Amino acid sequence: MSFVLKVENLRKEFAIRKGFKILTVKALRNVDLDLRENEIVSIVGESGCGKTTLLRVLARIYEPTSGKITLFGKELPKKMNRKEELEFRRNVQMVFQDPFAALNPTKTIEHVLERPLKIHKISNKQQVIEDVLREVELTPIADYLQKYPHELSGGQRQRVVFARAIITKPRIILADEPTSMLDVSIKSGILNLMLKLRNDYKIAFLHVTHDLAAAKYVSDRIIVMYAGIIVEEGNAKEVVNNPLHPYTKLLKEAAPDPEKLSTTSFVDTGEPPSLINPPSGCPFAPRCKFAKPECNKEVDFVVVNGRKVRCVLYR
Amino acid sequence: MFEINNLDAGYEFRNKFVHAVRNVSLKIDSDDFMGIAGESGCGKSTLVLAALKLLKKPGRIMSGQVFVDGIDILTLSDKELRKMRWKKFSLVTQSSMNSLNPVLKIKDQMADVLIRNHGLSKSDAYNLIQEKLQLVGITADRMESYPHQLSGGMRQRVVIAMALLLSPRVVVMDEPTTALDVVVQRSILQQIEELRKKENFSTIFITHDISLLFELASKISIMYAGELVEIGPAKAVYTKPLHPYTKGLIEALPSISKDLDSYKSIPGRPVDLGTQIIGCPFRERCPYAFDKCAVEKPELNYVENEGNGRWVACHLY
Repeated sequence: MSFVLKVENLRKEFAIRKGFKILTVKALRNVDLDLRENEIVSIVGESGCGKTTLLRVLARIYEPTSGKITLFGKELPKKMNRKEELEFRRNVQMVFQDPFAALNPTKTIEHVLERPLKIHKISNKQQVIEDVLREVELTPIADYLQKYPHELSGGQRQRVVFARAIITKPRIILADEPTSMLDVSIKSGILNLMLKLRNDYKIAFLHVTHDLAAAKYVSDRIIVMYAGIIVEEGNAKEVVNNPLHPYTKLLKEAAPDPEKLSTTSFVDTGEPPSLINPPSGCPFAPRCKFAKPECNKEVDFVVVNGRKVRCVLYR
Repeated sequence: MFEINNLDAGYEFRNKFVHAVRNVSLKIDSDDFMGIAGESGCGKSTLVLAALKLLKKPGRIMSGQVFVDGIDILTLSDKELRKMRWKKFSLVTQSSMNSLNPVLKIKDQMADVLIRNHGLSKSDAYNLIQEKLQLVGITADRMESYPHQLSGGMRQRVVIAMALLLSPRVVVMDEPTTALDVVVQRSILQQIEELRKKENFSTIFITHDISLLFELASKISIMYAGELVEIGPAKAVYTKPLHPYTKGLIEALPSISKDLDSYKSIPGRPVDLGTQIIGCPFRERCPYAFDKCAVEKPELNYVENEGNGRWVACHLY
């Protein structure tokens, strides 16, 4: 399978002012990542670990500080002209966390779905709109076209957001926590929709979430991030069933699980490090019960049974 | 210990009445960990606010009784009730960011209720606060901090410590960890578990995260459209749900330990609580619905089920 997206050595720093000093927040540090055709990859981590920043850099909302992004085999230029920009937007679409904020409240669903068609000069509007609405299971179509966002439930709104994303026939969808604002009873409906879109349109998904259980269900691969770096990467089921990195273990232990009998074994000491001056070695070391002196030096990926893990325990 | 009897409450607008809590009865014994789960808009927060007589306008309690230690608190005057608050029961709300006053030091906002309503001296109050903060793992020097100087998890711990100040017998928690990260959430829940062992209080825990509830609670109530549809021991409800809604919720739940290949969501959307509901409120989304569901409202009945009985509101039983 070919790569649709390849990211090498991506860094993103934000400058913040504190009095007269200018500090840099290192939100992403040397992130490598690839996404194959027809694949769903989930990025998991706590808030502040850089997962949303990564998605926004890839969506060209933020400019990367350094690094190389290769899209469909071609390196992404820093500056794009209008034509290239349109081409990029057509191929890479985004789905946001909050379906209440992602749709213009004063416009009907039909208008929302027409906009991308106008911008990208796609003809046969009526047919295309009907097709995507059918695809996201909002039927009968006539019931939805003239509705405003506030007349729909959260799950329906998120389906409209997905419909808008697939209307340009993109090859990649960047989904930023698409289910975290939704109720349990409809959450899995949206996850199933992602799986269906992948099968029907061969769309590759980069899915950011903090819900390990959802990530396990929906994705082929999981990438675990901590303090701006990737600490573990591998097959989704394996990462969750048998986590290697101590941080992934912590995440798994912390996730709610009705099958679990007792919670008393959970020990967590501390919180993520500040990203202004992150530790040079493993960022998880201050919090890790297996920490050793060599954790203070930079830790490289080790490949264990086809999985990449950044931890000295597996050297 | 804490008993809600036929409580009806809702929100009154000029031309509309939203009936958010419909004839709810619930009993909490000492040492119970009762979880109440339901989708957003099912009335679970209204239920606790009404039960603690905290429902503000346009909210209104229509009828019902709430007994705490044999006293119906809904009939008490505000002044009498104030004496009972914190001492007999307390509430931990959803977002600690909003419930702490940003311009008061932690110790001062915690002392406020002790000094004003319960007549403690300032030094006694500070000593008590220090002791309770230690219980939740916050060191004494943090008493001098302002809320913005603490992390989200620490602020939530402060709110929990505050609820425990006068060692109440019942602590009501309304989504206490929803705004927090999974790891922080887990450590706070663990803390609550330990506190329950040390301080012996019963808990009413409200959340939409039912996987969490099944794991923690000893008893569970499932709420749908303002009514309780299933009440029973948590583990038994999880392994053998009786109400179709509970079944649907459990099937919709991506689980971390199971390797299921597909999950189903419940079709449709919850009913509008502003309308009159005839028959079973869940029938339009229910795969088992039959003729009777459309005309007759199912009552909450006790169903014997392989040794552990429970209350279910469904015509199937």
